[in-house]
Formats: sequence, structure tokens, C-alpha cells
Amino acid sequence: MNERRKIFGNLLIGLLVIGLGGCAAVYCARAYGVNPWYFAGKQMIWLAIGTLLFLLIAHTPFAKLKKAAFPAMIIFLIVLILTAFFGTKVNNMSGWIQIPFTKIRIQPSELAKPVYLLSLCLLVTQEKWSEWKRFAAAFCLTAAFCILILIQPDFGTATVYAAALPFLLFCAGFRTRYILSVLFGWIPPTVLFVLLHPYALRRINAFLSPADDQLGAAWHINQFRITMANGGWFGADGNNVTWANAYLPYSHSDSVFATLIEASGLIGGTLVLLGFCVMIILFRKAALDTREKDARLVIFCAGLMLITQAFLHIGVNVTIIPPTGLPLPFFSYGGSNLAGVMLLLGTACSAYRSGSSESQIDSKTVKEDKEDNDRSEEPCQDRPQCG
Amino acid sequence: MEEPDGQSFRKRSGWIIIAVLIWTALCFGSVVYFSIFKRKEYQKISLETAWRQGKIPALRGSIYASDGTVLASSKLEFFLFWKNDKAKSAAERIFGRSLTNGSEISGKEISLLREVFQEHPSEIWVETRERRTSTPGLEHIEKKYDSVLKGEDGLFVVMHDRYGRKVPGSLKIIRKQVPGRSVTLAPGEEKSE
Repeated sequence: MNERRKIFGNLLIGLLVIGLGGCAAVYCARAYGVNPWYFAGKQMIWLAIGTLLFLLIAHTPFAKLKKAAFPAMIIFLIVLILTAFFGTKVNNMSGWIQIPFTKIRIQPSELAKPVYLLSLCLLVTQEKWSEWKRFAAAFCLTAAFCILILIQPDFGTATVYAAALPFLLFCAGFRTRYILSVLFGWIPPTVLFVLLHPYALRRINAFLSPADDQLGAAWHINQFRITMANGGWFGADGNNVTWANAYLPYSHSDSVFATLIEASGLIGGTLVLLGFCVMIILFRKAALDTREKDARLVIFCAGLMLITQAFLHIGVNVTIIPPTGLPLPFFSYGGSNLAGVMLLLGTACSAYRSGSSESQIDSKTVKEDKEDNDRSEEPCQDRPQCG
Repeated sequence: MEEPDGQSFRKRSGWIIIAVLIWTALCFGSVVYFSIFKRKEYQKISLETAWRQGKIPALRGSIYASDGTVLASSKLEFFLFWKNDKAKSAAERIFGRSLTNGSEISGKEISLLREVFQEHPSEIWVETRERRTSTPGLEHIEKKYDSVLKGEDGLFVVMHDRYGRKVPGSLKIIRKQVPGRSVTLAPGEEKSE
């Protein structure tokens, strides 16, 4: 119990340190704005809210979360339908809901991630269903979420949702045919999306030949590269993120990794990369320490969802994949994203706390102690120890 | 002994970790390529794209007669311009008086407008002009001592952002201006040609 408290305590401290690092990254990215604390201050408030949400969910018994998963999933699907058609439009994407009488906007697709993952894990681990039935249910759930998010349109977030399914099926031991059918199944909606949204095709062309249209579609790619070049080994002179502030679009959100490289150089960028690698290794370790199958899958796939989003963001920023708008977990400005990440981590933590082998050993020890006590009340001649 | 499910999970999750490490290596390689190997090339592009140079005009020297009378002198004048009413209202609030577009302001008043410049970049600006007051008929003196009077213009560079606005704190003075030296004429010199 003390060991688990220690791990939990260390995790909370680690989350707060990373979260504050994210606030610093947001500040750097807007350092030359009229009020550089505007975004960083709001991020700190969301960090506090996210931490409370993390503590709330982490302390909720996993059995209760499992019971609430399907009703919550239905609520979120309804919310996403309403958002897709009636949501507030920001940067040509209607993925936000404005809270009435306030200026606060939330993004339901970010907050729905833990509910989606938990529902998916429960469907995939239904013992009484055949493999085909479990796959079909999980596929339909993923398709429903992805289509509603693609309508907004938000290709990046839909990719994160879609990527969770093949990872989950692979870890759950499904046969290769099911995993391949998911991967091939993603091709038609991608092609349809690109045909319906010409900007997506322009971005792909710009990615393939950035020199052809330097002032047009390839502009963002070139700005990423110039920003990284300014970083060098240890960061720009005086750690001034001048180029990110002046030229990089969304330097505080979708381009924050490149901003980090300008501020802290190759060394800083490498530390962030290594940090995410260590994170997923720790998630795997926690999952292996868990005996319940659904809890194990929730823990590891929560980490995989985070890593998928992080590495897609990083891949865009270092220009190895075409640009798409995805925030970097913990570092990008965005209240809904930060809250969603904390909820996801809280769910994984709840799964770990209830399903770890230590808790199994604790309950086994209690059972053995109870058996010993019961035996000591038996008459002496029935006990093997009695002479 | 670990259950079969656990063994399968251990193996498969291990493969995923390997895929994550491969992706990490690709990302790291790209960062190294652009921040180290291609650094000079992209920094050159950034210099050509963003940095502009400008002149810092040198104040022309004065001309004095032999008895010390000022025959010609220069003075810098500052004129405030704006593009929209928001910037105008912000400036009027600072000065506590109404302004017209192109109003003359003092050098001290420019420093009061620092926050307004930051809040309304490229919407409000100051133009500097040199006003020379000169006794008529001194053109030959101005020409004769031009090399002494004119001084040397300075040079600055400043970074512009993607909207054409100057990036705060990016101004660098490459060469300071050297003000022109004043000239005191010999007795009767101002009358001769």
C-alpha cells in the first residue's frame, strides 16, 4: 500500500512538473505578444482543473468507471453530433462548444478520449462474445467517433481515435486479419476527406515538394525548418524564440515542439522525445503489473493514445509527415486537451490501482490471514500442527 | 507462471515499444538534420526573409557667424500618424489632449507611447523630419562645409514578422550616427561667394 502511495505521489509530482513546463513553453511561444501571460496564465488554470480531475478519476474505483463507460459513451456521441452541426467555428473547424454566458469554449472530442478508450477496451474483452463480434462492435464504435470528428473537420484528432483501435486489437491478441482490415479500412475515409477538403491535398503536395511553393502551402513547413535551425545545439541566442513568435503559426499550440527546439535547441528537443519514450515504457510496466485483462489494456492503450498524439505532433513539427493540427500533450496551449490528457491518465491510474498484482497480493494475504484465523478456532485434533 | 494472455501481451507490447523507438529515432534524426547540418542554410533564408536595414539620419551641424550668431541650425521634429481610431484614442488617452493625424509631438512624448506602439503595431507610428532654419544666402557656405556639416548616417537592422510589423526587441544598431559638426565662420566669410 505504501509502495503504491509512493508511486502515485511521484506520478502526481511528475505530472505537475511537466504541466508547469508546458506553461513555460506556452509563455515562450507568446513572449513578444501584447500580454505574454495571457495564454500561459489560462494554461495554469487549466492545469489546476486538470489535476483535480485526475485526482477525482484516479480515486474512483475502476469497477465504477467500467459501469459508467457505456452511458458516458452515448452522452459523448450525442454531444459530438451536436458539436459537428451546431458547434462554434474556430479556424474553420466547428469542434468547440461555447459555455453559455461565458467566454469558455471546450472541445468535446478531447474530453471524450478516456470514455472512448474505456468503452473500446470493455468491448474487446467481452469474454462471452466471439472474436468477430468483439471486433465488429469495436470497429463500429471507432467508426462512429471518427466520422463525427471528421465532419468538424478535425483529421488529426480522428487519426488519434482511429489509431487506438489497431493498437488495442494487437495488444488484446486479435488475429492479424482483423488488424489489417482496420488499417485498410482507414484508406477510403482518408481519400474521401482529401477529395472533399482541397486544403488537405495542397498540404500533401507541399510536403512532398516544399521548394515548389515556398510562400504558399509549403510556407508552414519551411517555417518549421527555419525555427529548428535557429535552435542549434542549446537554443537561440539568449533563448529568444523570436522566429517562432514572429513567423510560426500557432506557435503556442500546434507548433509548440518547434518552438521548444528554438528555445532549448537539439538538447531540449531530445529530452522531450526521451521523456515520451520513458512514459510509454512506464505505462507498459504498469500494464504488465496488472492481472485483469481489461485494466491492463486500458493502462497501456491510454499511454499509446498519448504517445500517438505526441508523436504525430512531433512528426509534423520536424516535417517528416504533412502538417495537421494536433496539440502536444502537456506542452500545447489548450484547456480541453490538457483536461482530456489528465482524465485519460486518471482512468489509467484507477485501472492500475484496482488491478495491480500488488493489490491482488494484498487481497490474497488478507484471505490467507483469514484462513489461518479460521483454522485456529478449530478443535486441536483437527489441526495438522497439533501433536 | 505467467498466464498465456499475459505472455502474449508482453510480447506484443514489446513490439509496439520497438515501433515507438524507431519513430523516435526518425524524429531525432530530422531534428539533428535541420538544427545542426542545415542550420546555416536556413538561417540565411531567415535573414533574407525577415531582416530589414534602415538609416539613422545624422543631425546636420549648425553654422555660426564670427560673433556667435546662429546663422543656420537643424532640429528634429516628430510627427505622429495612425491608421485607425483605436490607435488614435490610445494616444490621446496618454497625452490627455486631442490629436490630428500628423500632429507634432516632442521627443519625450515618444517614450510615453511605448505601450501604445506594442498594442497597435503598424497602426501607429512616428515620422522624423529634420527642419533646417537658415539665414538666406548661405547656400555657398552649406556647400563649402557640407562634408563637415552633414555628419555620418547610422545603420540599423530590425526584424519584421510575417505581417510586416517590427518585432519588439529585435532592433540592432549596426553603426551609430555621427552628428554633423558645427562650423564658426571667419569674419565676413558669410558674405563672400
